[in-house]
Amino acid sequence: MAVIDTLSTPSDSRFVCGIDIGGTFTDCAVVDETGRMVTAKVPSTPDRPAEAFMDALAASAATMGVPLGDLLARCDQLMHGTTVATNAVVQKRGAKVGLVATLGHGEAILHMRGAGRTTGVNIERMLDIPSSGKPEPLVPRALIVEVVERVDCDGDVVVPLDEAQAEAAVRRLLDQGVDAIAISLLWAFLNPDHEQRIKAIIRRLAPDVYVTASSDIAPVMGEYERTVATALNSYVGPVTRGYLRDLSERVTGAGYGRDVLIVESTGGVVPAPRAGEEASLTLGSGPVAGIIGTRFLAEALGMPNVIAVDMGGTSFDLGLVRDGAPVTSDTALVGQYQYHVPNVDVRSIGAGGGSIASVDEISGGLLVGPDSAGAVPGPACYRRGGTEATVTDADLVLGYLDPAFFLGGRMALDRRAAEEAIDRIAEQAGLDRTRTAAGIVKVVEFRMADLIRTTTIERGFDPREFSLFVYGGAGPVHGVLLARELGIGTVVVPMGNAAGVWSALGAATSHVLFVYRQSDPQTAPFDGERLTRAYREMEERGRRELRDQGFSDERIEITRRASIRYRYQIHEVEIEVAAGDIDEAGAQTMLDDFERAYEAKYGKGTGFPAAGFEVTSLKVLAVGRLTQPELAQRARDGARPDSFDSREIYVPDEERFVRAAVAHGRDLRPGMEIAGPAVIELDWTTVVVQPGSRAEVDGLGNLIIRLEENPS
Amino acid sequence: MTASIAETSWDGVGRSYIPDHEIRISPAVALHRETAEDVDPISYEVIRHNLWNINEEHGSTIVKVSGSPIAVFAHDFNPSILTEDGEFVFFGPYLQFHAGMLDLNVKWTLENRSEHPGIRDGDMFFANDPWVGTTHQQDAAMMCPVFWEGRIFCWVANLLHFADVGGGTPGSFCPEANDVFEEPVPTPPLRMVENGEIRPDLEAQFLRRSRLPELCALDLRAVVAGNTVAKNRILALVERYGPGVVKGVMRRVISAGEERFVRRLERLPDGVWRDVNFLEVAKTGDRRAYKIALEVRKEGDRLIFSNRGTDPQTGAINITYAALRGGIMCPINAFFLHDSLYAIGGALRHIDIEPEPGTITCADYPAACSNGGSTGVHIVIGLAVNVLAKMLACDTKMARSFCCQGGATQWPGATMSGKDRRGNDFGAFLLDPMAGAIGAFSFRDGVDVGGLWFDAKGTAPNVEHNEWASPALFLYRREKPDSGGAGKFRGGNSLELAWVPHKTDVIMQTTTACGCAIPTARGLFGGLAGSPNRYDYVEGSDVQERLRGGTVPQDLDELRGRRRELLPKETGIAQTVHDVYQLAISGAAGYGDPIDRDPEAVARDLAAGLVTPETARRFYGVVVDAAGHVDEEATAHRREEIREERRASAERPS
Repeated sequence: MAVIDTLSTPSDSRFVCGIDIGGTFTDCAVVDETGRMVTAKVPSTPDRPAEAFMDALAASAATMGVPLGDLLARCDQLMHGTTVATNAVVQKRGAKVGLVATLGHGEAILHMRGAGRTTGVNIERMLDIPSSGKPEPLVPRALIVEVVERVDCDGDVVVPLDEAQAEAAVRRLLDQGVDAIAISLLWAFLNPDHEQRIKAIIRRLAPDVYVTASSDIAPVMGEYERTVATALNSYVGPVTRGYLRDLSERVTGAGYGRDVLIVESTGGVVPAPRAGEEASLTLGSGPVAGIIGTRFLAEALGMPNVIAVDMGGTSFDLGLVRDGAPVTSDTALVGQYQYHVPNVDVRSIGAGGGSIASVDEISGGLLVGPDSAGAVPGPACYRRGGTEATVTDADLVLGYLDPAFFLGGRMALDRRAAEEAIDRIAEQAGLDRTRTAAGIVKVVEFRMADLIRTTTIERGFDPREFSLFVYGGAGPVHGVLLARELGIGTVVVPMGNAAGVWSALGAATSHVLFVYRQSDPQTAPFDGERLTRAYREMEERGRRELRDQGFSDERIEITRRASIRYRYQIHEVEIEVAAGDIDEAGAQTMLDDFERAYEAKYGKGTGFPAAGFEVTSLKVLAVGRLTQPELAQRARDGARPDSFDSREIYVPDEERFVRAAVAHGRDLRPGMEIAGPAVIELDWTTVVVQPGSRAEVDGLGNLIIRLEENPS
Repeated sequence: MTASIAETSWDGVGRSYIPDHEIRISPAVALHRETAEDVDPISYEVIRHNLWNINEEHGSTIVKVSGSPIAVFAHDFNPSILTEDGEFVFFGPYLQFHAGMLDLNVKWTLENRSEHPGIRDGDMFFANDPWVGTTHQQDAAMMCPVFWEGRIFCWVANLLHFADVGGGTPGSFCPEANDVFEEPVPTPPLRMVENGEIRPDLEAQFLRRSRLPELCALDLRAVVAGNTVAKNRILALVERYGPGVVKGVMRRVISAGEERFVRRLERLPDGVWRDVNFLEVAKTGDRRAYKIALEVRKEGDRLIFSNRGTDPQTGAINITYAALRGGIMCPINAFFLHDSLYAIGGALRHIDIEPEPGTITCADYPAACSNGGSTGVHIVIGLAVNVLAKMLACDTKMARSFCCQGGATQWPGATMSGKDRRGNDFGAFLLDPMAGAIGAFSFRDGVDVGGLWFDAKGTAPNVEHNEWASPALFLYRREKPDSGGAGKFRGGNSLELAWVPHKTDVIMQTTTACGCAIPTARGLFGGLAGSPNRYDYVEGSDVQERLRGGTVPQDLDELRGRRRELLPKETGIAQTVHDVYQLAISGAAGYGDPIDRDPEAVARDLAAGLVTPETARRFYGVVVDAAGHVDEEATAHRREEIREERRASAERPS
């Protein structure tokens, strides 16, 4: 295995270190220059997350047999995915935020474009009108103030900012005890002057109040989504900034000499002080770090297209890597709020090991979800109070899980309780226990397959051109059948036991990424000089800010992008734009690239060139390349134990139980092959290798499972 | 769906099409009818979920290919899956009144096209004929038979609003029309697609009518692509599970929906529930109001609807049977079938409509129908909400399943055209009414600016989108206080917005609406109506001076100039930079007597500016002190006073 429990490292070796704080565990992955890795898992300390952070570092240092100070002093990059902002949102414990808006338009964040009841909710709830409504306001009406000013869609000032009135409005917010303020004015992304002047007023009146201006955090068209982005940043800002300051002090005190690098939803890392100012970009950084790790490993494996699936107890997260890069989006959801943010697109459905099975009284159909037993009360087999049959109970009844070796034996499962729960469903469904359990698994797998299919197809991708990476406790049990349903040929359970600290490793494989955006809509024929000017301005800022972080020019990579659409059309497609001055030919190339990309995404003949073109926003990605850990390949000796354990597992194709080899993580050696039916027990999950598929351990310790029927 | 008065004249030519129980299909077409009765619970769920998803992919394909604001923001379309003989299996969570129509189109096609030109594998049929089955000519159906081994296994079909299909007015809403001859040409079902290819000759004659032929061509490809995706995925299902099993699931989806519907009906008493409302201004220049009536009669496990009492067809506000039925289907789905994911086919087996022909809501040929999508169908939805809510209120559990009528109850059309700030032609149709409002429930308030309940996925544009698309400066867009009907539970407030031309000299404006003089979201059980639509206009104002002077006017009363209301169907309005246009979008209805409302809730609404002090006192009978706290004594006194006033003005029922 690539996971080496004791790292005997030369005393001058340098390290890269990633830490991910989850709800239950805080994970740490330390990789040295030779590609060897140490992992640690310690309990999270939700009220004081920095403590678990230090605990995880200390645990790693102890495993390596070096003092913590040594580890930190020799650490080149300390990278971190944080859930502080996410928790503030989930627990509704963010700041008391006041909003400053343009006179006559302050309610946009309350109107939610009329879609607040239905955005981000599942179809069952959307159609059930009496039980659905708008979410609690991010900013209550009483904390919205309007200022006299108006800018138009060319960025021209129609009515100048009335500073005296603005100051009085800000004072009204301060009098109500806000601890953060968001400023979001109409068209401020074209002309930020009024916002910046209000920001100065706030800084002068209340230097400690956290301030976000929409022209800084989300300079793109669409005041509702921009205002949500701005308010959200102020909502999670104070708590995130406070946490990062605390953390920085602790690691500095322990001997670390640089800025901690924080994973952002963009798919890159930024220094902690900057992350504190753009705190909303740390939302969802855990799942995003998982996708970054996937991208890194996929590159090592030579797999350009990957569907990454993280299935835990309550949710199923899905991300894509296409042509070696994470698939991104410019909007995201937090609850029922949609907002502008560049992000690695991770979709989630409420389907996991804890999803509850039931029988529809009228149709007799077997339903799984949308209700979930979660971790508490949990599946019946957990014996934590849950009595309803869940996917995990079905997995247990079908022999996929070993009641004595769940999570590496850390938690005993009660098979009897699972059987009783399944039996109650079986009776209602008129089926036997086994068919019922198999049915529950099948229904949930089909739901996941549907989500994957929808997500890939709607972007114009064919799932059959992808490999499937499965991680999270409940994922690898179902990976092979999911792949088969989607016509996918290869399933990867990444890095053996390292997959249990996958997001931490993902954090450690990040690069610094600063994203700059400008929304300066124009219609074709484009003004090349204006575009060039905008790009150059963002590029210079990117270079300057990366140099400030100590990056030399050869480690800086700049990419331009543009979002373009047909006039009278809604869909925007983002394309890459060549460096240099944009002349007439360059502008034409942009249109040609757009038309090609549009047809690739929406289908042949869907273009509408007769309507003309609009460029809606420009983006510059400034990447500061960091040292990537190089994973050590181990020789494939193919050694296998003389014999495997075995147990009966259910094989759906044969509709019966079949004796399957059971391998344990400790037995796996590079080059070893195991043909299905087989079960591979890892510390953090169980991999089910169905008949017709074959698992191989590669030199990095990944399990690569190939399906005979979908040869890739 | 049947009509008990099935006569030959209900043939979709002179009179709206109403199929018989048994439709007559030429033996030239064979239907696949074999059904597995014993589908196991697991296959049922897997295939059911797949069918729903196929229909969703059908919808998202239309959105993808079309890309027009109508499809993407307003979601003015709906895809569906129907059985071989035209019974609904699923249709999507998009614009709901399209529900009542696709089965009619499929059945008409089966009855009238199976012999000649015939229905073959690879064909698709196009129609936008209100007498066969669309709201108005802009809504076009595209129907695709799915063949298995030479027989029709099922149909996939969709209805989409096309941006312009001809007629005298851009956008094809024709407020001046006297009859259909002054409107877009209606097309009965014709075989537009053969062997999977759009026929160029038929496409050309369709596009020739339109002011936006490229956009219509793209939308045509969108609906064909949607059907193709759905057809191929259904065939893959059939291949995998066998035709009998898939058909078995389809039948059970329908029968499960039927069972749920019937069980809910069983909780309710037999009886008749009625409601009446009025549409105003039949066409440009007219100033009268017209009665629209709807009743539902419940007899055991059947609902019988009738529009009897509705005024004769007139002017440009008519709809046909299909839209009457589509309007009725909206609350049937929302109130009875949300947990069947709107699988309405089974419920329709228990619903009869006995329409009175020659009326505004079941107009005969050649009445003008092009405005039906924004007037007639909406008034029917509101009436259907009310008659069904009255019935549902008879059972305490079912009383929790309805909402009072939401906004916008009559779409306040505002169509703009002229030169944009670069001197190019522009045209725009204001989509802000999508922001809507949800009516009150029997147990809680409605939702302010909560969207259109019968178009769940729709979205209103941002002000920045509006200003980018049109040369206008929006002075404000805000919730209008008191626009939600007062009640024990308050209806949702809706928006009001105002704009002036900006960086252009003039914008040409057309209005198309009803519900301006007479509220169309009527309250229930003592609840008051949501506010009506209202077009206010100040001509020759000093708005530019004020802007130059450093203020943005927030109230029309601040402005100098000539104040007037625009008429609901006015054309040729030339709005200059000195003219301020304010549109208030109709609000949602309230539930229950306002003087039964918790005074604290009124105080909260007052503090938030959602109701005005005048309304609090006059309708809610709530008095607050200077700090905004409820004055309990004064409130009790005022409420008693209201009761006195009511007793004094009460008359003995006749």
